[in-house]
Amino acid sequence: MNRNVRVIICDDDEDDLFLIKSVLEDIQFKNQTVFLKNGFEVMETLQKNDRDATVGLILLDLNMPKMDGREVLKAIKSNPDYCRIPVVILTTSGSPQDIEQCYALGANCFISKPSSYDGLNDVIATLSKFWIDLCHLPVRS
Amino acid sequence: MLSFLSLITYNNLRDMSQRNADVTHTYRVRFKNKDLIKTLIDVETGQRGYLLTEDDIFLEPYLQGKTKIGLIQSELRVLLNDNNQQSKRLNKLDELIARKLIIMENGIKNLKKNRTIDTLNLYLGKIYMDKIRSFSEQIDDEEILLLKYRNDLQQSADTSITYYLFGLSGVSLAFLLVFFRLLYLELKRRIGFQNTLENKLAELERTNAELEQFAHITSHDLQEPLRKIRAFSERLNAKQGDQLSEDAKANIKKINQSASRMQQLINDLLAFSRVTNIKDYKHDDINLNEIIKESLEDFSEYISQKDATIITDKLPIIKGVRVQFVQLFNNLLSNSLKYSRQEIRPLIKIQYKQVSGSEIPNAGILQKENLYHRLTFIDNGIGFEEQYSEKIFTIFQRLHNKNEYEGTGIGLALCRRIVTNHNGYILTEVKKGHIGAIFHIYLPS
Repeated sequence: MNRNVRVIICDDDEDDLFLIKSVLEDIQFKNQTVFLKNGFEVMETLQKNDRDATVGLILLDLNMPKMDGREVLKAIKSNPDYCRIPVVILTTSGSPQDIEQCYALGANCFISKPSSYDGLNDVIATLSKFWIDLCHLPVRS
Repeated sequence: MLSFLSLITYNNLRDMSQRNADVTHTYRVRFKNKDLIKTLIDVETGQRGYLLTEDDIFLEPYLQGKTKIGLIQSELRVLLNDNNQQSKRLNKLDELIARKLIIMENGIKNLKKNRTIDTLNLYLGKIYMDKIRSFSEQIDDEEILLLKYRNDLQQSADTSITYYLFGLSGVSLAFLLVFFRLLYLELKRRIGFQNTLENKLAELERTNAELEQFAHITSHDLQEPLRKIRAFSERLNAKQGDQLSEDAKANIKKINQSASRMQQLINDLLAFSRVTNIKDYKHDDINLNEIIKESLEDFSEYISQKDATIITDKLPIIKGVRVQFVQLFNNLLSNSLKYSRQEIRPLIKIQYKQVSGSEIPNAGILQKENLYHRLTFIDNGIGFEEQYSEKIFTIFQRLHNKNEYEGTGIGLALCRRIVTNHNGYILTEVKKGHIGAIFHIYLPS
């Protein structure tokens, strides 16, 4: 079990970050969370903590300025050091092309942002339970 | 003009060949005339030979010549038949020749009787011979004159026919040039039209694509703030609900309801923008009977709840985008079920007939010749008034308050879009005495 992993949440929308934070409080999420606002910060964070290898889940928005979610996803999944980290795409988009493309780039999961607060609550709680509590992931050597 | 010139030229050519025949005729007259004199000389030579030698050997050309003279005379008569003056001359010549022949005959007779040559007879013969020559020359002179006249005529005709032929070619050329010019202008005009049409088409396609993109992006972008309105108002309710007054809670509920209604509208708009373009979709053979069957299965619960009866004709197989036809049939069926009368059990009939394009009201002239599949959906529901028969196809157009019947008013707009995408027509029919709605769908056969 990866109970002690850190979770990166990357979204350029402050309101969404606020709502996610609020939900995390509601469900009393125990793991350390890192809130980032663009793709570069994700890559920086991963590189800085390279040796620690503590990042165990990434929630990634797609449409962001500078380096968007697709580029981040591609960079993570094509790097042997990070490719094992589960990446969940959490975006407003629900277009078939985006879904297709993200899975082709190696996304582990694609979720459209729910339009209600309760819905968001469900999504975060489920993700946390699935990826952090239940899922076995390969351990880095 | 062209035919006039052609006629003149034809007449000229005909005259020319006539003149050629005339010239030949003249030459024949001259030849026969000369032949006549030559034969007469032959006869005279024969007679003189006989007179000198009394040998019968000379009588042979004499007698033969006489017969030949008669033949030549009759030939000449035929040839000169058309010329009065010359005929008269010939008459005179014939008369002189007859006298001359008698004189020669008398010369022979006299020799046989008196054993002497009658010199007086010889002198008389010479006088007649001279006269004969003179008349023969007169005839010949006349023919020479005629020949000259005809040659002159022919020469001037040659010149004029050259002019006519030049004129004919010139006019033909002018006609050809004018014709080509007109053809060129017409072609240029048409190419111009075609270019304008192509430009308009390109413009239209671009505008359409922009509109589609616009509908897609706006509905997409509108969702973002809307999602937050809902999320934050729900959060407010969840976190501070117990501290809020009843009035505040009611307001939050209204905000939420309005937001979900807007969400529904945006979703419908998105759905609408998705069916705009079917160029990218695969067009399959669709068995409409299967589509109806699927629709009826989808609505089986609704149908039994409403206790509705649905009667379907055998439907055709058409080319199109399958998902859109499923949506079309679902929308029409759900409308019929939704807008049913409370006191009457819904009866929905789906009829099929192949019809000519001329049956479609408002269809273009070009469609009149084509064959169409006509699908007709008839129900016994609340229907609508005739004045709304076009309005109901407008996006978000509703005839009822949303408390009475739920929905956003996208259904029929989608139906029209789908049918239009398949180059068809969807129209309503308001029949006197019929209670309920009638929808005709025309699809190219």
